[in-house]
Amino acid sequence: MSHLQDATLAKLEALVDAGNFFTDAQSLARCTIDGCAPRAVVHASTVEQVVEVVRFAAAENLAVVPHGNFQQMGLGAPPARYDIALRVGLHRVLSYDPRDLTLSVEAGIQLNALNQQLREQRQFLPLDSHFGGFATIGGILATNSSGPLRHAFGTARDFLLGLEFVTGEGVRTKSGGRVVKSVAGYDIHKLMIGSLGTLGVITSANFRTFPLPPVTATHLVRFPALDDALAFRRAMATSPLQPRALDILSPEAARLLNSIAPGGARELSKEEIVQMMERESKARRERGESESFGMTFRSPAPGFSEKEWTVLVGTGGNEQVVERHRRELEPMAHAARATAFEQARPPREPFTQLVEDDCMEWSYVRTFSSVAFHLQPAAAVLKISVLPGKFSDFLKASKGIAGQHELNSAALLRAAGVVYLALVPSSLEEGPRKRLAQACNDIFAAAQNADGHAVIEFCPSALKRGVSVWGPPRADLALMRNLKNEFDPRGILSPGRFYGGI
Amino acid sequence: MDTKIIRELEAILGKQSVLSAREDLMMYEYDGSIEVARPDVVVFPRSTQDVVRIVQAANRHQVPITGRGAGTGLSGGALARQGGILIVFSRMNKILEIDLENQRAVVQPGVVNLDITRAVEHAGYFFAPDPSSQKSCTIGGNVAENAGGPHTLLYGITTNHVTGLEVVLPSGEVLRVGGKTLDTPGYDLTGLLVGSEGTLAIVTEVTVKLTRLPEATKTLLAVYNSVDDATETVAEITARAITPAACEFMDGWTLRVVEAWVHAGFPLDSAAVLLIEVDGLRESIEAQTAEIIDVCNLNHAREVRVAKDAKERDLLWKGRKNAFGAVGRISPSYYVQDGVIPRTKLPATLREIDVIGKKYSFEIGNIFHAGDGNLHPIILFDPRDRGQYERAVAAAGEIMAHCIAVGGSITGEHGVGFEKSELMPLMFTEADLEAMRRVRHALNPAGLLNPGKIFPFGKGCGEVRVRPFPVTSSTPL
Repeated sequence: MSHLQDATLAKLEALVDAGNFFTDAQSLARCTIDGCAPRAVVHASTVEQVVEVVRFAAAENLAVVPHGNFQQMGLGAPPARYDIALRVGLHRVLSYDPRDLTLSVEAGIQLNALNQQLREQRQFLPLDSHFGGFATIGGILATNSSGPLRHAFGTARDFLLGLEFVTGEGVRTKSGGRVVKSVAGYDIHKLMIGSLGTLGVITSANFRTFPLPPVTATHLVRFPALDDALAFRRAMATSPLQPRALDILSPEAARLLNSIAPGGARELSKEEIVQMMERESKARRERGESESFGMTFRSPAPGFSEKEWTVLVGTGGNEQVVERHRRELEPMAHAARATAFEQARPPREPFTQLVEDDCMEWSYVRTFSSVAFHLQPAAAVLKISVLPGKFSDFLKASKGIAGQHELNSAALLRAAGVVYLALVPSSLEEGPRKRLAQACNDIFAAAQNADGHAVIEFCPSALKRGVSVWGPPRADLALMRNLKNEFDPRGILSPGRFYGGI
Repeated sequence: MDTKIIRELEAILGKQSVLSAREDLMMYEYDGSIEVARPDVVVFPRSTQDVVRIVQAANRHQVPITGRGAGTGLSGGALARQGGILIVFSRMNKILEIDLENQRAVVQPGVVNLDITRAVEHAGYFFAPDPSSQKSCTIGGNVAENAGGPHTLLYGITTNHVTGLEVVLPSGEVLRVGGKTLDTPGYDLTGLLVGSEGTLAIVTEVTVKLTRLPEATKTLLAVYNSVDDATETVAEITARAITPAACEFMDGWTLRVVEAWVHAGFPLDSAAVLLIEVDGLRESIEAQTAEIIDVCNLNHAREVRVAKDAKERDLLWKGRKNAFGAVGRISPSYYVQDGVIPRTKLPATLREIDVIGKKYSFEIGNIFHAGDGNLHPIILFDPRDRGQYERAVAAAGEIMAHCIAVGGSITGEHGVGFEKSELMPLMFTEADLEAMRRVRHALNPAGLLNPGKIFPFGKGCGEVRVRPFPVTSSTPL
């Protein structure tokens, strides 16, 4: 790895605003990814500065890892090289036309801050992240984050209209448009979604916005067994009902989420929460891991059943629509052997994670993946794309794999076709870690058997040395490498972090 | 073209699957656009393996390859602009798998759009993208152009309903991207390939999402004495964040042409109508209908009719979906545009189109997906008259320039093809286009796939190129 000379650092510093360049040990430690620290941390506050920094990096052959709030940096493989941590500090709403339901924003704006603005017009953007509303738009796009609302709204690819980004050669580029429909040119913005900063640095994005439903309600339905919960899912899917969100929580996942409120039923103050988060992230840094804190500590405990499977059904629309869902879901649930059918209570201030949440339960469920890893730092949390018709077989297979390797497991199923699975070893010691690595490989194979695929979203850095977090590459890798070479010929953008070592 | 290639193709596919006589090729020099380009040879593969061998032959001889479904496209996408081999997918028309539990179907590219819905509607499902040509257009063409349709207002366009593809790369390699499941690791190649207009790979299999049929549907016809009132209605429906399943605009001129053929019961003396459909849960559509009628009345609708039954509804839609056919009855040729604008700009833009029509002395009809802001001005002209042809192209260019000026797009669902390639610099900088060229280079390095599409030839600065006069003795009248 190249050693950064003082003269090079001085040139880099001159490219950004005064006070936006850091080389002190603390700043570098804060931007550590899987034990890899950068040489410099740079905050760009204009698109021109992003261009200048990337151009400079390309000329000097320095590796740049872009980020927003540095929350999701645990995703992906460790960088092959890492010189500059580039924070995209662009926070403006560039245009918002509520009467056209279209929006253009800079990449560094936080989801919650944005949705608070849209809420004034009774609209919102149905994006989501494992870290809730504190994620930035650019970060959400680069990681293709999603949450419970994907059931009704899909993921970013379904409502991102266009994108502006800076290529690995420092060229400011855009694709798509600002109107709700455009097929002019290639959808390069779709390539950028989930590309983990390997093709370009996202600087702004255009979306369509959606109306907030006038009324929402969430139902919590409990079942003795997974197959009963899945029968309920099937009954909904073949009915005219149109839930907004539909998640299924295993008893083990419920136990995990219940344990995240250390104050028990006592409400913690904001200050207490912030202190706990800081303590936790410091501990994580000291272990040489990414600082990927979520909004972990909240209160009160969600109180999910730890003996049964819980189905969360989000509904929304006018009063009659919401009432009809309630009226028809209950008998549907009981026909599938539900033991309880409750309506979730409205959230208590101050900590719901997304402004449009109608109950606390969603804020726990959406963070399952990050929370599981946070509470069990030895765990691996996998995201498995699997069709709902194969949920049952896959869950049985994964339970078997966990047992065989002496691991605990906890699962969250998102009915659109995604399973989040936490595999928890007894410790970080070498023996359990090896068993965890083997279990991850077995899950990759089990996902393939179910016509799906798995990736590891969160795991200890040590595990990444033995297992590829992206799973075994497929035949499509060669084309992806070609694309990477076209956008980043010098290989300076997030090198080694992505699928197949891209 | 070297007859050796034709002999080779005949050896691969059999003589009955290869056309090379001039009179046969003339059948394939058109699509739904006003462009003309004749291929050197037309082939009809029956399998992915056939396609692989065709591509390998094309590679050996370095000749262009262009894919074609039903040829209903409106931007010249399915025309062999630089000659070479035209691959027609009409014999790869099987539905390979229907998976109702997971709401997926796997189909060959030559399957007709509506046939997917016909195969699953008995079980309560449909394939949502519904181009007006859905009775004849194919899913392969829909994927290439990222086709839309009236109901994409609520349901999304083709790309929202395709989860996986099997493609043949220009090298002849067969590759699967995406699949039945979501969120495939790596770059979203499926998202890139949908809408790439056959310039990156040849699609040989498509995995699509199936959507639940709505429980209830209501179709409204709002009748206006002024175009402005109709467009203000659409702007206000959008502003109130009401999302109908479809919201179509037809001006008085167009609906009179349509009515003369379809007899849908459109009021002949009106200035414009809106065909609005809402679907979903009964409780939801009742409220939506009431609010839409309220907005229509606030904007001086003369009358709002609600279709009584499925028969009345089908008739209204028949009128809408056959409009272009109806226009074809009264004019030697017509030129359909595909601009998109923010919905807030609808009233002003329709006025602007009227001004442009008068400037160039054309009757410009307007029938379009108003809810999406996706305009389809129709310019009637006589292609035998060179002056008219050039004025039609110039008028179209001005309309497009206006769409871009208000923040819109040059194409909402028809594709760039070679019809609008010279307009690309209106929307994209040289750097943007260079990024797209690099994408093409990554997948189609030799440029043999559908050459001459999407990218402008000129080092353009947004000037509208008046194309060479395309009329040949074979131009249909």
